[in-house]
Amino acid sequence: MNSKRTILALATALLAATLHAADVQMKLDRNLISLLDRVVLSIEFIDTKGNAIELPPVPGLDIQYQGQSSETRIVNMQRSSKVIHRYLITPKQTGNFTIGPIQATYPGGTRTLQAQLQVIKSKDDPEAQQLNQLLYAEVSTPHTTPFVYEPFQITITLFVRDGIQTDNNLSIRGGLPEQGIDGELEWEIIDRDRTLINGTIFNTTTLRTTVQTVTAGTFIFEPQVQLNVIIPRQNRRTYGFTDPFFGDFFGRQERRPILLECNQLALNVQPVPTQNRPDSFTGGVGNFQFQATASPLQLKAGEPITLTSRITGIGNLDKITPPVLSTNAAYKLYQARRIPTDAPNTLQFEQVIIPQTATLTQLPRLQFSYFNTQDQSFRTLTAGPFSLDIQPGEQARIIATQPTPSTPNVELLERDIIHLKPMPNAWQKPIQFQQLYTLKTAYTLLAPLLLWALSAILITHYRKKQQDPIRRRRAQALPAAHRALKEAQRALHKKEPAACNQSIHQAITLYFGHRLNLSVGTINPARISQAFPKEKDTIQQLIEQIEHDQYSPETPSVASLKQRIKTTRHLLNRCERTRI
Amino acid sequence: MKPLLLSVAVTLSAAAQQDLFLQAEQAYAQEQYPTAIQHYQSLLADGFTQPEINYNLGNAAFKAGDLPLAIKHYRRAQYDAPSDPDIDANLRFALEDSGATLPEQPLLQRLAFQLPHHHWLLLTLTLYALLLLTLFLRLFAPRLKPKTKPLLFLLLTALLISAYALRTHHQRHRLPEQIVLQPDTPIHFAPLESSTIAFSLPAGTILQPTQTHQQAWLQIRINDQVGWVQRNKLSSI
Repeated sequence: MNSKRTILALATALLAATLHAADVQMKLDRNLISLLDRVVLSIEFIDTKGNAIELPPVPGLDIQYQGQSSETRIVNMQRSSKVIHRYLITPKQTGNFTIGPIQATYPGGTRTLQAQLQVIKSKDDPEAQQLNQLLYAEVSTPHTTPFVYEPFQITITLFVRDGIQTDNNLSIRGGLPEQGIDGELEWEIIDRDRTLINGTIFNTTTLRTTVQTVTAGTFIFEPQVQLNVIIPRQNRRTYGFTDPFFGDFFGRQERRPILLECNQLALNVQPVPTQNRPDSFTGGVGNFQFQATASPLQLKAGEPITLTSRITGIGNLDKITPPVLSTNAAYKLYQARRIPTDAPNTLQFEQVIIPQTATLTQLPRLQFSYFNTQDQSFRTLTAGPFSLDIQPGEQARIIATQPTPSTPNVELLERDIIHLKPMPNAWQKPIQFQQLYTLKTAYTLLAPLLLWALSAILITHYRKKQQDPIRRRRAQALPAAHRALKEAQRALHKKEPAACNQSIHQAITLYFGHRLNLSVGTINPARISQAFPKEKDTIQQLIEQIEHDQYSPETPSVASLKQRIKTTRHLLNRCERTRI
Repeated sequence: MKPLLLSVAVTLSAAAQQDLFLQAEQAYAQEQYPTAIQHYQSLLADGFTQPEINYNLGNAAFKAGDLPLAIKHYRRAQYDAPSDPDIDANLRFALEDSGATLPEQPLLQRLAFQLPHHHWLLLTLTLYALLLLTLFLRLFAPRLKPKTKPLLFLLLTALLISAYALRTHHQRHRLPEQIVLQPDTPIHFAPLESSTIAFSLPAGTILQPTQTHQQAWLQIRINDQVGWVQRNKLSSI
């Protein structure tokens, strides 16, 4: 009786535990925070499930979805579960904010959710109403209209109000042109200082990079600089006593990444003019000096002269191709190559020239043209000519008799896509995936495999039987016995009771001989009874009757033989079903 | 009578497709690229997805300045004719122009896409037939068993590779690659508009989706970076 009551009580408790009403709630971990602080908003699906909800944008607040978690509790035999979606809310300005209303739908109902948040300025920030008054960045350049390939500097200055702690880690997350800029921009911190702006002290950090564009057009720079501001840990904070910028009493702090507001810098990069461009222009944009030397100046025809040209100055040195000496049948020109140099802002080339004849008295002047960005015009600088004293040489005579290799007339084609393809050879519609991957296809493919498997099973079984004499005899037992019983039936019809009795005997002998894998002489009632103990009496009786009729002078009656055939058939069928 | 009618219908249909193809070629030659695009798209809509049509449509779209559409059809053509150097060249050219790169694929996946789907299908069926034939031969002629063992091993290995390639093609069809339609498309950390932007991608970037979220968002993977992007900013290849 007591156990029944216990079970009933347990069942009632379990039922009560499962009868919780599903609900959805919206919660803020705090409703009052300071600027530079953050708050976590949770949408809790209690005893039900629900997907994340897209919160409507709130001006002045940055809302980011953080992810979901779930929890299950069992208290006093009552089970409750929650699916919680969390959002991190970062204020950008002070004020009272309403998050929502939003509709939360869950299995069994809909709830309208809303939350209120108050963001206040800190005690020590009488002026700061917005985050961008405390921390901001400024981007600038001394060169507002650069030319393509002209290197120019971009400077970012970070302003952080005195008293706000940062961990000195800063990163540029984007806001820089992604196309048209040559290479990756490498920023370096060039200065850290303090400055007074409108009576407030700011700590400044200045970063600088050199930019070079490969195309003309407008380039927008609005760098997104991220700083890690050190603020007291949120969940230990109290208001009124501590200051949000200086940490709590125990110094527990956290780093909060903040993206700084920055002005936009639009630079109109001008193309290098094509008008009045000299033939000797090799891509230089900036302000350069040019020198060239040839060595040796006294030599034999066929010996090499090295022409060294040096370009120094400010500009796109890495984009300048070597100045070209005009071709002449009197000398052979090899391709100029760039020579590494340790000198700053210097570019150096070497070109090998082999005079073909002793009649060559000088190398022509070498010209270098570049676009000067200061006066916005092309300038051509020259070096040479270089006087030569060339003696005839063996090699020179041989070469001089041969035709001068002429520069191949190579026409540079504009890069473009490869042209159209001709009409397809066949206009058949390709087989669709949906038509191929069907159950019908699977059955069609599997059918021959199944057929093989079935055949393999049957053939293996058959072969095993063929190879194993015991199994073979076992399989022959009943058919052989049945054949002998048919023989007995026929003998009975012919009214040959002795032959009939003999056939019944043979049926029994054949069956048990094959079934028990015994040779003819070893089959006896005791061995058979041992294998089939349930049929012991029937077997004994049947064998006694057969033996009696074999040796008795009396002829057995037809009815008794009929009954004996029937009994034998039943016996053998029963034995056939018996496992031994 | 019925086969004859069917044959006539097929011939007439082929003539119509040929005519449309020639019209598209003509429009392309006259620099009427939108018309050429329209004609090629009609052919595709009728179920004629030959690589030549996708390639030419890619060319017309490239000339019309629609790089995402060009890349999409070059990519489709490439899957149907992977060894065609023209398709590869134009696809790379268009990608270079759009500032995107070809997504990296694992070695086995690259191997699977070395042949078009129908070639793998034919190969798989042939291998399967040969395998069955060998199995039956071994069953009915046991004395050939030792001789056919290496062949059986070879066929099984080839069939496994071939089946894997078919499966890869099928997976690509089930969850097709996506192409970014708009420049600077933001990729989010989570499938919500308010979630943080992880990175952004140029128009024409080919993406491999890994999962979907409420049909509106796709999780994508590109060069070991994972993020979520809104489906309406993409088009299936």
